[in-house]
Amino acid sequence: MQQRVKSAIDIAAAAGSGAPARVGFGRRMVAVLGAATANRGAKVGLVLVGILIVVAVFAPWIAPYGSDQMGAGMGLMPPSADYWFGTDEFGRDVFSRVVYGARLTIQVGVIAVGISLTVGTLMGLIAGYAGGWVERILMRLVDVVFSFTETLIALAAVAVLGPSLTNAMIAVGIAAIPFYARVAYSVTLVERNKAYFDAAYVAGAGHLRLIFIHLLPNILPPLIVVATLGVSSAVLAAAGLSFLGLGAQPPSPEWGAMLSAGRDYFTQASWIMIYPGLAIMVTVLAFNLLGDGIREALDPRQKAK
Amino acid sequence: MNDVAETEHTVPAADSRETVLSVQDLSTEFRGKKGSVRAVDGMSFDLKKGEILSIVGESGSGKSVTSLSIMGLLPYPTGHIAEGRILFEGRDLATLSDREMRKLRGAGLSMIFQEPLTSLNPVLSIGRQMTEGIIQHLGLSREEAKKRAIEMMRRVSIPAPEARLKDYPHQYSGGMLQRIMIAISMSCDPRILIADEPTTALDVTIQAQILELMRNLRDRTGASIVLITHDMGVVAEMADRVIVMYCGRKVEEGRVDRIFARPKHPYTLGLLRSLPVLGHAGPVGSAELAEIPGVVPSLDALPPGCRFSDRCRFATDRCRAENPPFEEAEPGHFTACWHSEKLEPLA
Amino acid sequence: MTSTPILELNALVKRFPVKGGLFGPKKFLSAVNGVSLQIRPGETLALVGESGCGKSTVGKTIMKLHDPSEGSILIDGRDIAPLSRARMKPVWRKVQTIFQDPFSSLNPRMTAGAIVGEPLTIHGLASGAEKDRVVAETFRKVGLRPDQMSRFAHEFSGGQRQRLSIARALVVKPDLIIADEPVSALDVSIQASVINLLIRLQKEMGLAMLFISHDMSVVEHISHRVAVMYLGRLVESGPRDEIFRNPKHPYTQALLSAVPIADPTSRDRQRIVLKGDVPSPIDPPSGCPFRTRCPIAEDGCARAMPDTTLLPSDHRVACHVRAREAVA
Repeated sequence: MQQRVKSAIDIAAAAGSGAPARVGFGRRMVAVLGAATANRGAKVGLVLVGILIVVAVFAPWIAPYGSDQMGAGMGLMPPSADYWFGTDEFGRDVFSRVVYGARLTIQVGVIAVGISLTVGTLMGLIAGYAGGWVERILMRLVDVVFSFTETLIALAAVAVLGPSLTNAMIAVGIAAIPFYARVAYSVTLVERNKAYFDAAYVAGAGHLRLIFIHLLPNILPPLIVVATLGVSSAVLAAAGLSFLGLGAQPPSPEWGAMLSAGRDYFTQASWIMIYPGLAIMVTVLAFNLLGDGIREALDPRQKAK
Repeated sequence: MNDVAETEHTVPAADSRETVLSVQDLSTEFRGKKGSVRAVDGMSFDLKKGEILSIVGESGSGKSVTSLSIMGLLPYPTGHIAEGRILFEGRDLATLSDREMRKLRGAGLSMIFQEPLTSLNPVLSIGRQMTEGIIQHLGLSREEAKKRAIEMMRRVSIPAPEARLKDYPHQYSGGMLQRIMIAISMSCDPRILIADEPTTALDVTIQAQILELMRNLRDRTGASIVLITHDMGVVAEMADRVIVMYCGRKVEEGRVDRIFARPKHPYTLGLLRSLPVLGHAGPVGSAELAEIPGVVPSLDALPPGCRFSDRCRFATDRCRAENPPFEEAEPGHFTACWHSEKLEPLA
Repeated sequence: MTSTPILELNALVKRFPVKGGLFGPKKFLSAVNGVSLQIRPGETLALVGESGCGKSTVGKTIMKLHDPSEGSILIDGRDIAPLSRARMKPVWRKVQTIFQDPFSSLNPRMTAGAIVGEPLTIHGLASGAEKDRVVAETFRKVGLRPDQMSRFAHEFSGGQRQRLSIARALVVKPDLIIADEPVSALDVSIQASVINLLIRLQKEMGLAMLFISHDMSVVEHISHRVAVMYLGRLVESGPRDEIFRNPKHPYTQALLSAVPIADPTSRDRQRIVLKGDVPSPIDPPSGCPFRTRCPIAEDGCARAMPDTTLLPSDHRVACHVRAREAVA
C-alpha cells in the first residue's frame, strides 16, 4: 500500500511539473497536488492522508479484532506482539479500535467539511455575486455568527440536536460555515471584477450561468486549500465534542470518545489514551501539512518564480 | 552614409569618451523546475560618460534582467550571474561586498523602475524616503537633506514641495510618484542612471515631462543613462546609441540614426515596420502594418542556430543551423545576421 | 453621413459616489460629464484620452456594465438607458465588446471553443453541430485553427488570446464592436497583426466600431473619426485627418506633440510639454476643465465651461479661445 501511495505521488508530480495548469478541475487538482508535493512536508502529509484513507477503507482486513469485540484479550494488557496497542478495560484490542476509528474520522472530516464548504461557498458566492441587500443580509449574518467561537456554536448546536456523532459532525460543520463563507465571498469579489466576468455579463449570460459556469470553477482552488486545512480542525473539534461526551457515545471507537473513556485508567494503562491521542495528532498534522503544501503551490508569488 | 540627420545628432565620437560602465560577456540564469534557463546570454556593452544608451526588446528579450544583473537585484535564490563581468569605473561589481554595493547604489548607480507605487514604501512619508538616501550617500544633516529633497522635488515640478514632503505615497498621483522616484534616483547626482521602462505606465503628456527630465539630468551633470524600453518612439526620442535584444541576445547595436534609417537585423526591421507612425497614415485600410509572424519562443525551447530564424523571412538553412556571430556590418554598426546585406534601408 | 447612427450618445453622464470623510457630505466623481457622439454603420470612431479621462467608463456604460446617471444611449435609434437586464439581452447581441487584457478576459476554466461558442448558446442562435461549425468558421476568420478549439486559454499566446476575444465578439454577427484598448497589452510585434485583423474584419463585415485607446499612432491608423476626452468631457471631435493634421484644442495639440515618434530625425520638432497633472475628477476646476494646464488659458476660461463650436469639415471643439477665433 506504501507503493500505491508512492506511485500516486509520482503521477501527480509528473502531471504537475511546471506551473499548475489551467485545465479541467480534476487534472488541475492533480497538478496542484503534484506541485504541492515539491515541498517535503506536504509529501509527508499526502502519504499520511493516503495511509489514513487506506486504513479506513480496509479496516475489517487490517484490524485483527472487531472494534467492540470484548474479551479479545484480557483487560488492560500492555502493548505486545498480539495486541500492538494493548487492550482496554473491557479487553478490547486498542489497535483494532483505532483502525475502525479511522473510518469515523474520515466520515467526520468529509461530512463536517462537506457541510461547511457547500453552505459556506454558496453563501459567499451568492453574496459576492448579488451585491446589494442580499450581500448585506448574508454577510451580516456571517459576521454575527463569526463573532462566537466555533466551539461555542458547536456546543449550542449539539445541545439542540442531542449528543451523537452524527449531530457532532453537523454541529462542527455548521460552526465553520461563516469561515468558508468569508473566504468564498472575498474570492468571488476578486473574480467578478475580472474582465472574463464582464465579458460573459455583456454577452447576456443569465444568473445561473454567471454563478456556476463562470464564478464557481474559478473560486474553488483557494477553497480547496481551506477545506483541506479545515479537515484537521473539524477532526479536532469533533474529537473534542466526543471527549466531552457530546459526540460519539461509547462503545463507538471514535478517537475522542476513546480518550474520554480511557481517562479513568490513564495511570495504570496509559496506552488506552496514548494511541488514539497519537492518531488524532497524526491526522491533524497530515491535513495541515497537505493544506500548507497546496496553499504554497497555488500561491501566485510561488508561481512567479 | 552621411545622412542629413548626422549633423543634428552628432555625439562626440563615442570612443574618445571615458567608459563608465562595461558589461562583458554577461550571462544570467534562472533556476526553474525544468532546470536553468539563460535569460541573458553573452551580453556585452560599454556605456560612455554622458551617453544615453537604449536597450530595446519585447517581453522575454532579457533587457530587464540585464539591468537587474547590473544593479545586483536579481531575485534570490533563483537568479544568478553565470558568467561575465560588470565593471563600474573599472571595478568588478561582483567582487564588491554588500556594504560597498549599497554605498554605490544611489550615488554611483541609480535605478528607476517601471512601477513607482510598488517601489516606494507605503508607510513612510515621501520626505523620509527622499532624505534617507541623501543623508546616507552625501553625508548631509537631516535639515540639509530636507532642503536638498525640496530642491529636487521642485526640479521635477512637484507643486508645493515643502508641504508635500509630509505626504505618503498613496496621496500622490502615478505621474507624480514616478517623478518622485526620478527625484530620488537623481538626488545624489548618480553617475549612471538605469531606467527600466520608466514611462511605460504613464500617459504620454507625463511621459514627455519625464523624458525631458532625464535629458536635463544628462545635460546638467553628465550622467550616463541606460534606458530600457520596448517603445521604439521613446528610443528614437532619447537614445544616442541603441542595442536591440531578442531572446537574451544582442542582435543589433549602433547609433540611433543608423538603426532607424538602415537596420541591419531583420528583427529590428520588422519591429520598425510593424509600428504605425504618427503622421504617416493613409486612408484607413489602405496599408497593412507589416507583421512579424509567430511568437517569441520560450527560453526553454529556443530554436537552434539564430533564435529569430523561425520568424524571419530571410532565414535559410544556415540560419536554422548556425548561430550568426555578432559582427560589425558598417563602422560602429553591429549585427548578428547571416543576411544583413540583403536588408534594404527604410524609406 | 445620411444613414442613421448605430450608436448615439446624448449628454451622457456617469457619476460614481465616493466616500467623503466619516461625517462629510457625500461626494460624487463625474467620470463622464455630458458626452454626446454618434457612430454610423461601417465607421470606426476612436475615443482617445489619457488614463482617468473617462473613455473606458463611456464604453462600460454603453454596455450597461454601469448604469448611466443622465443622458441617453441610443442603439439603432432606441434608448437603452432605462432598459432592464432582461430587455438588454437582444441589445447585447448587436453590441459586442473586446477587452484590453487578453489574460483576464477569457475564463481560464473554459476551452477556447466553449468561450467563443458561449454567446451563441446564450442567445439561442445555434447548438450542437451547427454551433461547432459556426465557431470553427469564426476561428478561421480571426486567423486561428479550428483544431485549437479544445485548448484552454492559457495555452495561447497573448496575440492569439486577443484573437479569441475578437472571435467571441464576432460570432453573433454584431453591428457594433466596443474595443477598449484591444492592443495596448500586446508586444509590439504582435500588435500589428491584431490591428490589421481588426481593420480587415471591420471592412469585410461592415462593422461599426468604438475604438477606445490612448495610443495616438494606432488611432490614426485605424479610425475614421476621432473624439478626444479630457476629465470626463469631449474637448474635440471630427474626421481623423482634421484631428491629426489640423488639431484645434490646445489639449489635442499637446497630446499629439507629446507622442514619441519612431524617427530620430524628427527629434527637434516643436513640442508642447504640458505642466502638472490632470486634476482630480472629484474636485474639477471651475469653467474649462483643461484651463489649469492650458498654454493659452485666459481669465474667462475659469468662469464658464466652453460650449462645443462647430467648425468647417464637421470638426467640433470645446474651447473659449478657439470659438472666438472661429468667429473672427
